[in-house]
Amino acid sequence: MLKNFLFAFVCGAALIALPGCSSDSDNSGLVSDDGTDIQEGLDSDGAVTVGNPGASDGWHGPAELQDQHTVYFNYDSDTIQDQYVGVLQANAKYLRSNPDARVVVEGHTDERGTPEYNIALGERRARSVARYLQNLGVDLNQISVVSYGEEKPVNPGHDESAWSQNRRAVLNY
Amino acid sequence: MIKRILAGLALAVFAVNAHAALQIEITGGINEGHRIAVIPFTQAQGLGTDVAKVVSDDLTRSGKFSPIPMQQLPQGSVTNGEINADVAAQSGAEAAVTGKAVPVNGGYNVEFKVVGLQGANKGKVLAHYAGNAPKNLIRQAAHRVSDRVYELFTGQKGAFRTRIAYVVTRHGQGYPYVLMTADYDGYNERPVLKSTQPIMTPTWSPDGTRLAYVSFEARQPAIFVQDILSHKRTKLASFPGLNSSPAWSPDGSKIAMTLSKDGQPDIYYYDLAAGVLKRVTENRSIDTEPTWSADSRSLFFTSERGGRAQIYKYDFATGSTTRVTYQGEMNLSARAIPGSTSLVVVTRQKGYRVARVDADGSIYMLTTSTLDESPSVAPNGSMVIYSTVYQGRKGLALVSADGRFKAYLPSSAGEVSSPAWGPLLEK
Repeated sequence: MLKNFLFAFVCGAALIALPGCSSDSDNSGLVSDDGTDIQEGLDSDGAVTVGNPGASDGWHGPAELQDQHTVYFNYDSDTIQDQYVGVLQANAKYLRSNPDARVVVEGHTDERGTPEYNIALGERRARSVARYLQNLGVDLNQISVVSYGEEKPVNPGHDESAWSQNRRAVLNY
Repeated sequence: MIKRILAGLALAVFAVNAHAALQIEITGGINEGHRIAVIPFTQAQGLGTDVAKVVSDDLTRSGKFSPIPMQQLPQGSVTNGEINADVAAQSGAEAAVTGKAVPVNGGYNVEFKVVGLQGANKGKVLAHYAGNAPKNLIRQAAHRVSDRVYELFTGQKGAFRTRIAYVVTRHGQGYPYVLMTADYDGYNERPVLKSTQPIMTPTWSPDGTRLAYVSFEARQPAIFVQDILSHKRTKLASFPGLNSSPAWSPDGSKIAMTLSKDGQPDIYYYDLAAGVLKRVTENRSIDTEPTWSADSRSLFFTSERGGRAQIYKYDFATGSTTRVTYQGEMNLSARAIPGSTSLVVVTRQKGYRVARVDADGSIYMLTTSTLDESPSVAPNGSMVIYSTVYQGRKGLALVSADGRFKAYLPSSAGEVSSPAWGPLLEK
């Protein structure tokens, strides 16, 4: 069960304001977020700037998965639908034959509901995909999950056709 | 009195941007509340701000006033800026506000009177204040007039000199996500953080100097605290999984948050003085959206423990959790309304709408839109700001806590979300 594995990496990136994270200080967690590679600056209008505006924000991965990296979901559901099993099998096959490859499963929701609740629902979707990959024999250490909730719609529209494109999990590399 | 307060404000305000990116558009409201005539101030040409209009707009938005348009005042109501109570009384107005703004060494002296128009108050000066303000703080001075008038009639503090924080998203820009602050009415907008990745859920420290928020800048959510003036940022939480929904306690001592590091999303809080993280809920279903009661002694949160998401309350003294909402298929994003026993929530009923839940559990719809989210209540409990989709774009809207007045705040650029109403900064 994925849940158990997720438990194990609590202290990899802990509260930095805390004096320390006594036990469990396993740095090999699903998250390697020390923040050191984030570009930070101060704009002329007084705003702090973070990130590199020139960096690509799209999908990165092997050419063979170019058209097989997104799984769509029904409203309010984290169930993998039959038509996307092929996508997950292709990714699982790639990950099994490339043990050094790492996949980030990005969970997304449509904009209905509140942003904080949607972040939780997006995580549920991403974990559902991660669990499926694991069941297909992918090593858990190759998988990490992140939920963007409703914050990164692929279609910025405000209707059902946009929403159906936005309820998705993206397998990024 | 005003002088001292305005001088204090001057320290906190710099590089004031005269252009407001958010413009208020009034969409509803009914003619109840105090009928009051706000007479145009006698003011210098170069002032740049119509003081009486700022005051009138403030009072209208609170839902507790129905300012009377000038053309409804009988001829002869005002002579040389002074009110003729006998004539003005025929308008039916309860009172009139008159005032002036005259240049004094480098700034302006703003003086105003509230004069009663009916019954025993007819012709009586109910309030009379004056104070100096530099030119770039004239809007603040006008809001100060509104605060005085509001308190005179309602007995509650006005909240017109408060700031809001929100996130502006402009897809395609180098930094598409910008955390902004502005006066509650959208003026004096200033950016705090610009990022290549999403920013969520700003929450104010009770002293108004810092914002906590969620940033995805490292392609993982992390909770940061940023000092608005010094720009100094501190990363508060970046655990595996969710780091979301920060909520600063009204007493300033704690920041509640949602973390999923132990499995499912649960509620935690960070004790700022002790420097420790404490777990509040431990549940197999989703618990999120923590929010504090006004006395900081309990937390409201959203939980799926009973099936669909509903609001629950955790009491620190007893350690007990009780369900708060029963009506409506789903209730989310609770916010306590200061000075009352009611909550504002987002309820799912033909879409997602802002509603008020009263102490007896009854639910009262405040909006008729379908994609409302992120409600935040003014510190005096009078108004709610939230985000909604309006004319095909996500933007901010205001509704009075009694539902009587609504206004959209259309943005000139991008989509606007995650509003957070800042604290009252003076007693």
